[in-house]
Amino acid sequence: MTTQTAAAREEKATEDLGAPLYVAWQITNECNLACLHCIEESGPGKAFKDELSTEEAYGVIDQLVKAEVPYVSFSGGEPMVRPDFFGMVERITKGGVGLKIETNGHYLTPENCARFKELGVKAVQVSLDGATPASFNKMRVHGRFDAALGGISNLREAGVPIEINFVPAKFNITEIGAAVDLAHEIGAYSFYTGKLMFTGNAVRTWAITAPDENDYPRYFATLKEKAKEYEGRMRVYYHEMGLLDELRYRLENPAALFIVLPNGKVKLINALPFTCGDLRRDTLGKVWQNFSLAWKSPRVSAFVERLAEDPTIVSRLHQWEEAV
Amino acid sequence: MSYEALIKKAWTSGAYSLDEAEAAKADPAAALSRRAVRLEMEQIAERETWDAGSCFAAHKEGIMKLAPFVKFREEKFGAVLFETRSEKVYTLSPTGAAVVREVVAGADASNLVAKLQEKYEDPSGKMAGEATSFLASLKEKGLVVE
Repeated sequence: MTTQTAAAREEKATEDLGAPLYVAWQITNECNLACLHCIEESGPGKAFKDELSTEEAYGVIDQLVKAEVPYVSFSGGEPMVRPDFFGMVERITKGGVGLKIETNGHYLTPENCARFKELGVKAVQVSLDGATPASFNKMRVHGRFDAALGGISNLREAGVPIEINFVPAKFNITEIGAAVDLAHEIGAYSFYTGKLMFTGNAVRTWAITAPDENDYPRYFATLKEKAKEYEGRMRVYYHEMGLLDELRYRLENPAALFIVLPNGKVKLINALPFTCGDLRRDTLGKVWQNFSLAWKSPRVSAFVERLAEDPTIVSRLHQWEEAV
Repeated sequence: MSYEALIKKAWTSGAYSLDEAEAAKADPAAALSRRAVRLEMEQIAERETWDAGSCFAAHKEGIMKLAPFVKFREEKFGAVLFETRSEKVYTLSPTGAAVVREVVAGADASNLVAKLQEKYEDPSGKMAGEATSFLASLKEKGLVVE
């Protein structure tokens, strides 16, 4: 999220807001794929034992609607494997919340895409880590490049706005230019990428996934060129900051967004183990109050500084600690 | 016909196709270029259609509306606008919030400032000036359509 000020004399801090502006909700940890780099350690059979029930998820949605949260993303795991997925989509979009779906694209049938259009889904972001079947299928274990492309084609046919997400790895980083071209060719309006993060499954697969650090300057130079080439036709967003720099920046400037886990616990940001509440137990208002306090917690800042010494401490993804 | 020539022809005449004489002069490479241009134009048109429905509805009703990818929320300090396409946030002062509140209520451009002046004291005309310029900036950014 970026912030601009209009008809105002000063920037407002996140704590001045009455509720988050963006909620990234991992609605399940279950997934049909087992990607080498998955930051959530999702995969077949990886649903949490205590994921929110339909009734509990609807309760969270009702709170998001009441708090007028403008934008929510449903991700996973693969969000579309939840049996009540479309019930959740319908409830939240009818409540007036802008919704983005983040998916691997394998369930984007013509019928599902038509339903997204009908329900006014604002965007569907599809992960397309590669411009060729070879690199895509290597990264996305059990995944099929043609299935993802077919899903994107169905989105386009239905008139649903498309975003593409690309994660670089050792074996696809040189395809970045072709991947941006492909995204445009298949009708995307935004393209997102950054660096591979050392967390989740990537910790175990780092030796085969991590690009050489020396490859990144060329990678970002290509993205810069592509952003210029597609200006006015497709937005190319890339995040050059490494994890440590990002977290140091967030300590000073927390974004007005939080992460809801499949079991209702709320994290400050994906790479940190800290939670600031539990939507099964706490109201959204209470969690939001905790959120600002949690970012000021000495434990959080100490953790970030420890990360400078030991990058492996972010690998313990699901060992949560309450920050407040 | 070159890419540049086709673009020029399209934007000056509104025609995106060639007559037979022009087509006969075209070489195969240019034909490929034309197909690429046409595809590009179709893609842009598809994307624009997403927004055009709301603009057209607002235009027919003679009112202004927030663009379909914009969300508005009141805050203690004023309000925020959230643009879902770029995920940009705009923080608004109380004057900015009052302007957007009128847009949401279905005001038209000609009477929005007068409506604000009925509701709020503005002896110096400062608010009216700010509101006028803010409304123009909302339209320029595509956050409000009419």
